[in-house]
Amino acid sequence: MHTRLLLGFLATGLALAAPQLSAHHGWGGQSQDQTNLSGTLHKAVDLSGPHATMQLMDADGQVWDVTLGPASRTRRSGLPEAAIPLGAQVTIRGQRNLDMKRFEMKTVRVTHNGTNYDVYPNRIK
Amino acid sequence: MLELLTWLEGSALGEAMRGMGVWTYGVVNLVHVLGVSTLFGSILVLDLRLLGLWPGIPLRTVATPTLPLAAAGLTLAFLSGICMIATNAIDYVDNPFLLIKFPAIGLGLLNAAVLSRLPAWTLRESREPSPADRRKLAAAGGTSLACWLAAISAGRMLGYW
Repeated sequence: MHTRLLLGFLATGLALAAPQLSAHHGWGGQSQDQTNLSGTLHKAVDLSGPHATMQLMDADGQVWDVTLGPASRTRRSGLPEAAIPLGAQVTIRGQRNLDMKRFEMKTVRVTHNGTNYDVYPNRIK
Repeated sequence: MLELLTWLEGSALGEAMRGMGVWTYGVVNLVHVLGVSTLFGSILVLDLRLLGLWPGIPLRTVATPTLPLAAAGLTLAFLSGICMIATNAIDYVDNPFLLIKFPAIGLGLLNAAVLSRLPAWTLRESREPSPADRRKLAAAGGTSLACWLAAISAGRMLGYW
């Protein structure tokens, strides 16, 4: 009786918690290969949330979600201070989301105006 | 440190964690949260009793459910924790919270080992603790609480550095 109650409790907890956990998956959902992507800055760096984000628009007009590091790590890269203006040419290096329907890159390096902002310096291949 | 973490990320465990689909990390993280909450929830009750709260409840009565639960929680947290760190170990190079978390866990375990050898603890079934016993038990309970709070706090901040 007790065991069954406990199992039911665990299963309920699992079902409730699972959807909220999907956002925080490290590098598991990304391609192993690093590629470059160039475009114009569409949305500036946003430090809120578990990971900093910004958006790029590529030459085809496709908007990409650029996932950076946690806020403090992204700040250490110097990227927020650089205050890159919207529309500026930016190149990022990162690992694309394995879901090809999603235009998202987990980003190790951002390059603007000849300066590199290394969010994950130990990961740059 | 970099060599060790690079090795861990490249290990079969790291490969497996990254290769098993997007839900893997989330589910392992859930196991970690369940392990840590089980460990802390039970050790909190025991530590507060050691510190002198609820004197009407015998120590052995408090220890009976809390000790095995804490051990089970620690085991779950340990196993899931290794899997999580292997997923992206390189990201933790130079992370100062790592240097708080693991020593705090080590100290917490050492404290538990010392407590388990104190006569005030081992004789809890057969005798009432003397005032000197109570002071030793309280010191162990306070140390334990400080260690696990530090380990959990540093562990939570680890991902945000």
